[in-house]
Amino acid sequence: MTDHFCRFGIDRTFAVDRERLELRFHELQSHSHPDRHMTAEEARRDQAVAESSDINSAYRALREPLPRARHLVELYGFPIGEQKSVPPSLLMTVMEAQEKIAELEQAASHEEKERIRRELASVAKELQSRRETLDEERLRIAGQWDHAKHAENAQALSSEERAHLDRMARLLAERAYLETLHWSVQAAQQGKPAFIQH
Amino acid sequence: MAYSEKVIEHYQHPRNVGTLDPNDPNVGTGLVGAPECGDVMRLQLRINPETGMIEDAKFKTFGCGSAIASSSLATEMIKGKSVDEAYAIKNTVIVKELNLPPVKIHCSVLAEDAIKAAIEDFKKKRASATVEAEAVA
Ligand code: FES
Repeated sequence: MTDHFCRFGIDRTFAVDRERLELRFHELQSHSHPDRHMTAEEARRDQAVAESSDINSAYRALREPLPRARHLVELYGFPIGEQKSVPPSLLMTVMEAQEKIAELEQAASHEEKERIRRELASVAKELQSRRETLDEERLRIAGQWDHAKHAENAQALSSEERAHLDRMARLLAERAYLETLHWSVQAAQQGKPAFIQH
Repeated sequence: MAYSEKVIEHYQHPRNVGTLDPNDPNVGTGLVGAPECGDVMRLQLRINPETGMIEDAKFKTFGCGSAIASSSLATEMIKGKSVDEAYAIKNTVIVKELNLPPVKIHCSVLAEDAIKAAIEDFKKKRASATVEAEAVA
C-alpha cells in the first residue's frame, strides 16, 4: 500500500495542518506537472504524468479527516473492509431508514408523504447525534495517538497502540454507514431521487 | 464508473427483489453491510426443512449498481440449490460472471456474506426450535 503521508513528507498523524498540506501539494505538483515536461522525451513525460496522478490521489486521501484516518489505520494493517463486527442494530437502523426512503418514493397521497417525511426527520436527528458521539470518541483517540511518537513498522507497535488503531478502524466503519445513510436521508428530504454514488 | 453490460442488465431488471416473512421458521435472513462504503444488503431464503433445498430467495440492497447486481445474481444462483451448495458459493464466481473491476470486488463479497448470514440464521432458528421441542417433550 502506498504511504501517502510519506509522499507528502509528513508524519502519520490523524490531524494535519491543512495549509501546510495544500502548500506541499502545490510544491510537489509544480515539480512533476506534465506541462513542464512537454518538450522532454516520451519516457520522462509518462513518468511525470504518473507522478502527478500519484500526488493527486495522495492529496485526496490526506485532505479530509475521515479518508485520512482510514488511510492511517490501513497503513498499519487495519483495513476498514474487514471490520465486519459493527453492531447489528446499526445495520438494522440503516436498512429500516433506507426502506422508509423507498416508501417515500412510492407514497401515493400527500398525507402519507408527510407522515414519512416526519419519520425521516426524526431518523435524521438520531443519526446526527450518533455521528456526534462517534466523532467525539474518534477525536479523543486521534488526539491520544497524535500526542505520541509511533513506529512506522506495524510489527513494532505495542499492544496498546494496536488496540487504539483497531478501535479507530471500528469507529470509521460505523461512521461510514452513518455517513452514507445521512446523505440518503438528506437527498430524500429534499425530494431528490435516492442515488448512491461510489 | 463504467459498468459491464451484465451489471446494467441486473441493475435495471433485478430478480427476486422483495421480502420473505422473517418469522417463518423456514426462512433465514442475512443482513450485512460493506464498511468501505456504508452500503447494506438483506438476503432471505426459504428452505425446505425436509430436503434442505432452497425454495425461494429474496433480497433488498441499498447500495451501488454492482451490489444490486451481485445480490440479484446471488438469489438466482442459490434457488434450487442445497444449503451446503449455497454456503460454498464464493464471491469470485460473481466477480467473474458480472465482470466486476477490482474496486467493486467488495460489492460481491457483500453478496457472499449475505448468503452465509442467511443460512446461519436459518440454522440457528432450527437449532433453537429443536431445543424448545425437546424441552416440551
Ligand atoms: S460500492 Fe458499496 S457495495 Fe458497491
